[in-house]
Amino acid sequence: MDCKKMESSLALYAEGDLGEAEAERVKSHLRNCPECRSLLKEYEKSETTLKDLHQSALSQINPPEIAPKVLARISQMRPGHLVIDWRYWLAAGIAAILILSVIYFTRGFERENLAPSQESLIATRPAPSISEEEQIASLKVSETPEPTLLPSAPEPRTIKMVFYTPKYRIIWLFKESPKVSLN
Amino acid sequence: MNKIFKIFLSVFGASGVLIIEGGKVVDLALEISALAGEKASKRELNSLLKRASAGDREAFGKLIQRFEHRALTLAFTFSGSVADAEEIAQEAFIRLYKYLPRLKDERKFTHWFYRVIVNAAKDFLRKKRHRPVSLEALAGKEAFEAKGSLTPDKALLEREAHQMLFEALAGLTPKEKSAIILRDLQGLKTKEVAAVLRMGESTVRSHLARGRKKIKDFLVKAYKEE
Repeated sequence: MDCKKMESSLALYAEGDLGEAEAERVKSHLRNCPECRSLLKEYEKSETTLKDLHQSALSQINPPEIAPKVLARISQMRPGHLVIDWRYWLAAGIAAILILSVIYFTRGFERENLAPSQESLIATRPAPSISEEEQIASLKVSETPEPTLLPSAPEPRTIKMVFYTPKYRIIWLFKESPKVSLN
Repeated sequence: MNKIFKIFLSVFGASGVLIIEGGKVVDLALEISALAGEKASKRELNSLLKRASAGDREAFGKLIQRFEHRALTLAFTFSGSVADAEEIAQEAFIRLYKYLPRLKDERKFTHWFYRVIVNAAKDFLRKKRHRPVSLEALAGKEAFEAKGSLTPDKALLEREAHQMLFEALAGLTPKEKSAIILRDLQGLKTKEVAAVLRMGESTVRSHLARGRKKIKDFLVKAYKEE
C-alpha cells in the first residue's frame, strides 16, 4: 500500500477504528515501513496529548447546577406547549392543496346518466352567474350522437359529463365499449 | 473439596461462569449484583423518562441532575467557556423537555441526548461566530478564575494547556469537531457517533481521519516551537 494513502488509515488505526481486514493490511504494511511506524507513533502521541489536555481543562472547571434554572424557564413556558414538526405542517399543507384542488375541479361537475336506448339525455343545471363564454351548449334531448362504432359493435351506454368551464369536457363511454372522446 | 462447577448463567441478560472454588463464588456474586445494579439504573431511567414525557416536572428535574454534568462537559468542550456551556446545556434541556413526548424508544435516549447537545452547541456557536472572541475567552479565562486556589505558575501552565486544546479544536470543521469530541474525548464508539450525528459510519471515519490529522499537525508544530 502506498504510504501517502496510508496516513488516513493510520489515523484510524491508532484508535482502533479500522475494520479487521483493513487493520490487517495496515499491520502488514507497518512491518516493512519505518516511516509509517514513526507516523503512527505521532498519531498515538497526539491522541494521548489531546485527551490529557481535555482532562486537564475539565478538572479546572466548576460545573454549575443548571436544574433550577431550567425548571424555572420551563415553568414560564405556556402549558400544553405544542411542538409541531415541520413535516406535519408540510403534510397538512399538501392535504389542504389536494382538497382545494378536488373542490376546484369538481366545481360545476355534472353527471348524466343516459337512457338505455340511443337517446342521450343531458341534465343541465342552471348555470351560476358565469360569462357567456363559459356556458356550454347542451345537446338537445332528442338528438342522438352519430354512431362512432363499428356496425357490429353493441351500442354503448354513454355518460356525458359537462363542466361549466370550457376547458374540460370529458365524455365517458361505459359498458361494452369503453371509449373516451375529448371535445 | 475442590470441586469446580461451570455453570453458564443468563442472569439479567448477561452470561457468567460459576466456579465453586473458594473465593471464586464471591467474584461471581459481585458480578451478579453489579449487573443487577446496572439493570436497576436502566429501569429507573426508563421510569423517569416515562414520567417526564407525561409532564412530571419533578421527574424531569431528576433527569437533569442525572445528565447535567455530561451535558456541561460536552458543551464546554465545544465552546471552551463555562458561561457558554451553561447556556448551551440549558437550551439543550429545554429542547429535551419539549421533544421528550416524541421519544418512542427509551433505548435511543442517550443518542438523542447527545444529538440535542451537539445541535444546541452548533446553533449557539453559529450565532456567536461573528462576535469578536479574544483568545482568552477562547481559552476559558473565567474557568480559571473560578478556581482561585492555583499557584500562578501552575495556573499559567493549566491555562496554556487549556488554550492549546481549544486552539487545536478550533482548526476543525464543525463535522470533524463533532466527530472528534464524541469519539476521542467523550468515548463514544464509532457506531454511536454515527447514530448521534445521523451519518454513515464510513463518513464518521472520514471526519475522524481528517480531524486527527489536523490535530496531529497542530500539536507537532506547537510542541516543536516550545
